[in-house]
This record gives sequence, structure tokens and C-alpha cells, in this order.
Amino acid sequence: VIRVEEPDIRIELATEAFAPSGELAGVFVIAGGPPPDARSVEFSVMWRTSGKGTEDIGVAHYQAWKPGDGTLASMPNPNTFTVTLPNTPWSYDGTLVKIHWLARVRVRYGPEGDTREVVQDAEFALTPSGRV
Amino acid sequence: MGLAFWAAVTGNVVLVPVGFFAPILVYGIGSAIVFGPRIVRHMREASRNAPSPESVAAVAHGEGVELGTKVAAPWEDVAEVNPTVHDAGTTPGKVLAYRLAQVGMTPGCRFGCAVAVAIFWNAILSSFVIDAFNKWNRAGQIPWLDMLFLTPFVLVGLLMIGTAFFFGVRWFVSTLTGQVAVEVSAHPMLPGDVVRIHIAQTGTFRLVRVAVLLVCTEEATYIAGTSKSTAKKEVAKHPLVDPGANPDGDGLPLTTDSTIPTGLMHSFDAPNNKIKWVLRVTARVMGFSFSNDYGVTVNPR
Repeated sequence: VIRVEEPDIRIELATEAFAPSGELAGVFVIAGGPPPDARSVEFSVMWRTSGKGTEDIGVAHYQAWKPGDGTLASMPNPNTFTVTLPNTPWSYDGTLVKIHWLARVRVRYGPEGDTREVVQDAEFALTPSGRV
Repeated sequence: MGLAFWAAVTGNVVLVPVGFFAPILVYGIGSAIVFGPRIVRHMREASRNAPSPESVAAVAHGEGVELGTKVAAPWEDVAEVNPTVHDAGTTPGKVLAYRLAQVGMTPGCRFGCAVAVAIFWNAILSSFVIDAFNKWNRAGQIPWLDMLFLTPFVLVGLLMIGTAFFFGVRWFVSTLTGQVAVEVSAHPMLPGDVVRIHIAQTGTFRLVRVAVLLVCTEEATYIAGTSKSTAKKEVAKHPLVDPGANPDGDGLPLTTDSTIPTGLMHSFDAPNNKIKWVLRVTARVMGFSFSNDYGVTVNPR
């Protein structure tokens, strides 16, 4: 069985902190392009909670490229993006509740019956300047 | 079964449980070895072919919950300026624009629940305690083992009675004070803004030493075993009205201007995680302490 190497995904963001309602700018690249047997490439900008509670997530931006609809072939790589962020929720580091913002790329690939997946996250803070 | 029966017939009593359980164990382990990897592979494949949590959340207008669980119903305020910040809900006030709603159980309900739980626990416990005392009377000796075993349960029972008494006092105090209404000039509240607060009561026994605090509580709901539990923790308290600093006295009715502190985290409401703010009114009445919470929304600035 020939094992395809795991795709190497890198995400770079313009800065580590963004203002509410600001523009998130960055780029993601899949080294060598998506695998030949890629099923989908998904890019999302989202928040997730961590801490004691069950995880909640919210998605501010979502985009998917799939071979079936022809979008994967035309996906730019590297892919620069700008996403308008919502006003809330702000990043938060509490005792029971923590809120994280991240840009996520998820690649699914592999033959039928042996689907593999690679997920790469880049965290950033959504916070107003001067917040204590 | 056959092996167990054979062991029993031949007089090998020790081998009876072995004969009974060994085939079941062998069958279970064998099945796990043969089918386990296939099942795991099938489940992994199914999860990787399922829509990603991000895509599910995107379809549900931006909000989702933990992987593998169903997506929460789309919130009504998705298109609003501040997603995840939900209005605590107010009604029109009589003096100021907004009347805040009291949050939490009413004192009477708390008292009733505490009494019911205390009766249930102590009623069951009493039969064991009576039985232990009867043994003592019959034998003329203290049944130390029974007493030792029952002691923690009796202590819990006493704690429940104490809790019921505490809530009884709170309920009694609330009947003396009547309804305490809190109204504010602006809602949702914005950090840095000056908000006028008006507090009045209907009861005949006047509240004194009235203080108002802006309190932040984190709430996290999680699954423990087969049930859902919610953990709560107060993480911030900001005094808005100090009874000593009020020039008009420290009783009710009270109208005062307060500045909402800057740098506060906004209210946050997700299916399993919440950041809630309340105005907490504390006071004294006839030597008893009084405390009520009123829900507010803190908007981001």
C-alpha cells in the first residue's frame, strides 16, 4: 500500500490581535498543492470555547473547495484572504469559560474507505485595543 | 452454562463461576479482536465523511456545538451587531426607562425545595437511626459499627435542616421587604457610561444599608456520565452603589447615578457556555441580610 504523505498546511496571519468588526488578513498555503486524491479543502474563521463546559463553536466565515464541483482545481495556492470579523464574541480567558478565535484549514483526502484528514489552526485574538 | 453445570455436578464449586463466565469472556474478547478494528475503522470513516463541524455551524447561521452532537437552533439575533450577546430582557419601568427582571429562584421556592429535600432525606434516615437505637436498647451496648456508619448521613441530614432553616429566614425576610424593583435609565449597559439606578420596595419593613454590585458569573454546562451539569463561578464584582457614600441616606427608595467600569467583558450566551452579568442589591432589614440579583446585559464598547 502506497501511503501519501500528509499535506503540510501553513497559515500566516497579518497580526496576532484584531479589533472587533475589523478585517482579518492572512494567507494559507498547502505545500505542493492539495493532494491528488483530495476530497475537500475547507477554510473557516471561527470561535470556539474551551474550559469546563462542552465546546461551543461559531463560524464567522466558511469556504470549501471540492473536486466534484470543480472549485478545487481553481483554488489559489497560496490563498490570501481578508475576512470581516464580527463585533463579538471577544477573546476571553476566564476560569470556567475561555473563548478562542482561530483561522482553520481542514483538508480531507485519500481513497474511498480510507479517508484521512489534516486540520491546521492559527489562533488570534479578537479584542478591542486598550481592554484590560 | 454447560461447563458451570458440569463443575457443580462434579463438586468443583470453585470452578462454577469460572465455568459460567469464562465462555462469555472468551466470546467477548474474540469478538473484540475480530470485529473491533473493523468497527473502529468504520466509525472513523463515517466521521471523516460526515460534514465538518465548521460547515455544519456555517449552515446553522454561524453557531454550532461540540463535534458529534446536534447543532443548536439558529439564534434569532444572528444578523445583529453583536452575535452571542443576548438581551437579558427588561420591561418598561415606572420611574426610569427599564425595569430589570429578578433572576434565580424566588425565596419561597428555595425554602420549599430545601424543606422537601430535608424531609425526604431525614425520613429515610430516621428508620436506620431508630433501628440502631432499638439495637442499643435490646443489647444494652452501643452498636459502634452502626453508629459510625450512620454518622456522616446524620451530619448531611442536619446540614439539610440547617439549609432549610437558612432559606426559611431568607423567605421570611422577603415577605417583610415585599417586592424590590430595580430600574435603570439605559439597557443594555455600556462600559464607561453613566447609568441612573432607581430601587424601590413595596413592603413595610424598610431596607437599609443598600448596596449595588455589578457581578459577573461564568456558567459552563458539561455532560457528567448520563446527566448534564452546570458549573457557576463569580469572577468579578464591581461596587456601583456604596451605602456609606450615598448623600441621600442608605435606605429606599434610592436613585443614584453610577459609572459602569471600563474594560468589562461583554455578556456572552452560547448553548453550553455563558458569561452573565447581574445587578446585585444587598441590604439589611431588621438585622437580617437581604440579597437579590437582577439580570443585565453588558454590551461591548
